[in-house]
Amino acid sequence: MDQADIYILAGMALFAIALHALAARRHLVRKVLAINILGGGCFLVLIAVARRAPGPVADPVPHAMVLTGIVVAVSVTAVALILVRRIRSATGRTDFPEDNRDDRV
Amino acid sequence: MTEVAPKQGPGGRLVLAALVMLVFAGLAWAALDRPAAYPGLASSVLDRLADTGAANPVTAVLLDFRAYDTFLEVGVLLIAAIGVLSLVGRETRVAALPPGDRTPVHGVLLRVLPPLMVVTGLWMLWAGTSQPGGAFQAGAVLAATLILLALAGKDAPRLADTIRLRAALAIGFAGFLTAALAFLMLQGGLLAYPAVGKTAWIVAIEVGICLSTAATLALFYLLPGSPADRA
Repeated sequence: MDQADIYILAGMALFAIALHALAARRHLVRKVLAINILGGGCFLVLIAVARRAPGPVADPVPHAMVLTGIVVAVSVTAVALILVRRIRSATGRTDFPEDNRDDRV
Repeated sequence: MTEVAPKQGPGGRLVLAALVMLVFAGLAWAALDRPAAYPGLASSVLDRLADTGAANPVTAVLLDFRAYDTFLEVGVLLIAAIGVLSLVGRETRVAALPPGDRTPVHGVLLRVLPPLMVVTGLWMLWAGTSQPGGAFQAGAVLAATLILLALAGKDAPRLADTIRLRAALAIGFAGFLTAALAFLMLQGGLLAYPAVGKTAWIVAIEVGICLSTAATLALFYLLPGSPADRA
């Protein structure tokens, strides 16, 4: 266990918590938030892995992958939020009907 | 519509929690059970850094070693912008600036901050080839400037769905694609930079990516929040 391991485990814990939220929460905005936190956990793991490599500087390849990942995450979030708005304006709901079979809306 | 308790009973929730714990345990085991000597890729990158047009290793990876990744990433950004523009509907595509009520704080902030932010963004763009920074970070700072102006109700550059906005959204991908095709004809390889003028190519591509990133991020933030959509 060194410092990088703590960050890696924290990133994995974030990933697991967000995975739980993604499955357990119904509200679509919460699901979008969960996907973002899930991605944040992955980024934390990658950054910590980069720090663990020996050498004078941190490994630049995971850093570049995180940079790419952040841009993709922003794009996914934007489109997902627009879709949530469209779902709400079209159906008046912010969840999927099949998540809500007992109809306690 | 507030958050309701999940449909599954306590049993279902326990199963879900157990599955998530299992996933975490597997990940943690994989993280701690690592090979003792992990070489990493830093030395490979640093050895060949002189062959790239960039002095910053992260920029070298982004725009040279893994240029394909970045190329497609810019494509993802453009596709997301097209998706947002298509989904907000025609009636919401007009001016995206809420009127906003200005206070003296806005007045001072708006005089002081935007010029500083623009200079910071341009510096990050320029510094990206040799120091931490780069096109995406610079684009994010410029987009934040636009969002700040819009939030304060200042008559900022209007972000309507015009041909100029579309050009700004597309220029990053279009520039990168043009460079890639030019390299294909000059060098015989897609994204194979010519030996001379590498830094100039990288900076030119980065300027386009920066403009597109700024326009796209501002669009994500401002256009969906336009007054016409708040019906």
